[in-house]
Amino acid sequence: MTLSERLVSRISTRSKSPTSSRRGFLGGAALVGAALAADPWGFLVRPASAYASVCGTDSACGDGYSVFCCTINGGKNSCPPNSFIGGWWKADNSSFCGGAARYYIDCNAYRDGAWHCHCAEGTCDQRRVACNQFRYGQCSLQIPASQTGPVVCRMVSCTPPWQQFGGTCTSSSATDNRTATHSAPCVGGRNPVGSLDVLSVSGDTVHLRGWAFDPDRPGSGITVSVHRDGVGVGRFGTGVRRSDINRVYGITGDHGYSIALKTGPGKHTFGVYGINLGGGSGNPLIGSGSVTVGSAPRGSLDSVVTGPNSTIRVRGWAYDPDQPAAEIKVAVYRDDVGLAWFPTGRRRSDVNSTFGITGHHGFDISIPSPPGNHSVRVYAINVAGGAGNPLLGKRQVRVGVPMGHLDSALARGGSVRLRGWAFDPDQPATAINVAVYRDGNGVSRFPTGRRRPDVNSVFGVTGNHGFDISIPSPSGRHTFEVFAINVGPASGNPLVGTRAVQVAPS
Amino acid sequence: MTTEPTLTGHGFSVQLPAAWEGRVYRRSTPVAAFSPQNRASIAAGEPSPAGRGWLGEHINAVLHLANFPLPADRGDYGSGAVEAMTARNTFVALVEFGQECLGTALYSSIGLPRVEPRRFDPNGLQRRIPGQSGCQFFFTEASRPMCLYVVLGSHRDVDLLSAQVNRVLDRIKVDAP
Repeated sequence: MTLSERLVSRISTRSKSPTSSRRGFLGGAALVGAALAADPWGFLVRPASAYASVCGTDSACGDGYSVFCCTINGGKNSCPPNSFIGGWWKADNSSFCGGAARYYIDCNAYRDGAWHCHCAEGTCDQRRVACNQFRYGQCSLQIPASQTGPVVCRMVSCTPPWQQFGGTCTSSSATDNRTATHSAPCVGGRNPVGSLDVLSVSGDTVHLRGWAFDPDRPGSGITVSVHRDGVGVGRFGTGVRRSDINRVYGITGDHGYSIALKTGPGKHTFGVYGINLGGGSGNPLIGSGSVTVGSAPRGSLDSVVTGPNSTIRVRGWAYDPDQPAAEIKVAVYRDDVGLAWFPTGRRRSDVNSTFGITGHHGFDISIPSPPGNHSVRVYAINVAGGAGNPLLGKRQVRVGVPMGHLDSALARGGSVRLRGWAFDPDQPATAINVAVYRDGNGVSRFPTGRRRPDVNSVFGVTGNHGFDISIPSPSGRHTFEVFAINVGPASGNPLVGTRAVQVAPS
Repeated sequence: MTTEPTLTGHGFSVQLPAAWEGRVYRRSTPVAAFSPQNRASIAAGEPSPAGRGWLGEHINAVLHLANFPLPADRGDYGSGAVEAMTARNTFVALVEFGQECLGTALYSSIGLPRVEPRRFDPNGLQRRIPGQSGCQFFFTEASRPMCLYVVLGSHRDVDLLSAQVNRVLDRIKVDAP
């Protein structure tokens, strides 16, 4: 239990007489709390009442100071009608502002006789109203001294006036620490509440959406201050309808905010602060988060084929729009295991032409791989922000064993004509053999050797890999199977096709 | 024969009459920023790095003159000093403002003014103290926007005391920035 808590507890205990009402008990505790906030040391060491400590020192009219605005302005910490902001000063190291400077902003009357000098009444803040003909001189500089009337009252804030009243007040400093403990019952307000609901990126724009309001003035909009990477970037008013918030808090007004900020590439941290309207100790952080701004790389995985000597050949293109002329890297995964990052750097004039960019953005990668079936994934690696490293594509590939296809099986007379292609990627320029089985029985091995430019084009190989075989066969229905015969280091002669054929009687 | 000392600093100089003293000062410039880090430390109860204002605050020169001992702890407009005045004392403050004030209506008057008894008013004070009176002038001298604030210890002696003030004002020189 803190000293303050012990004190409140002790005084509250004292007030628990049989005749004490619950309201009186709570009121007593609240008064002690307010006194501790206003002048903690003074309240603890001086034989003064809590009520006096709430208003701090020099709170009587005869003490000569000006009243707080909230005392005479319906609780509002703002200039009352027929007054203007005339200037400000600060008291350093204020406990009201968490040890930071506390700012006092004078509201001066005009010299139009609308205000008359009197003492405030009704609370312990009985300071002077519209009496002191004085001006600090940093605000409303367009109003000359000849039109300046007395100080009606003073606002108080933990936010510097040149921020809170930007455009009205300058930042020329003035200091008066003797007013540090001045206060009033209405000054001890609450801090704004709110939330940063959405922090998202679209292109080079960061969107911040949420809500905020000041419980001291729940019907009014407030401003939120946005900081990016620890630096203030601007203040934005609430004003977006948030009926959900109004319903939950039982308030009126439009308390949502929706902010869009152009932001450079990279990871950025944003913080949103609610700016106090009334009393309270400051402008609390109501939400924060990080986003990464920038475009993700683009690209394509054009082909993944088996290459010579048990390799996988991976081809495609990729570039990052944030640095479109730069060569980037692609990450290759085989069977879900990362192998390496490979640079682009191949000419791809088609890509450059399509996207209107320069540079060499193609990639053509050969990866030694064990025989068998493999999955290959390729990711483009971001170079300047954006949402990660996008997947360019995923393919399946078989390595180290022949491939081929039985295109057709046609009966003519007493023969069946089998056509297709086959080659072994381990020796892609070499013609291989295919083995033909009829109804499960081996017929013979036949060499490939026919030109198949279509196959060469698709697989990027040379040589003649077609076959066109006629097998004399008796009448009846027959099933033909064709196997490609391996010539490389791996084992296995894969089936490249099966066809059933009806041979007519001769 | 005693040589009257000359007080100089921050573009002000004044030859102090006998029994007068003065101070020229600029408060320290805040070095902390309004930042999430500051707010976080404040919320955590740690000493605030922004205890003496915020980054962005413009600190300007202040000249205080008085014919009584000036206490060390004074507000820029003389709080802490004026409370110690007797009826025979006067206090003069020249408070400078930033260049952004140049050419504005409030600072459109040119030249360091002299005071007139009729301008003094018991309510013309930052803090009303019985018996005292004060007056205030905004002006620009040597391209430096300023406020002259004068407090007299006794409004009854306004003629005598304002004449003393003018004799001191005659001795003030303001350099261009």
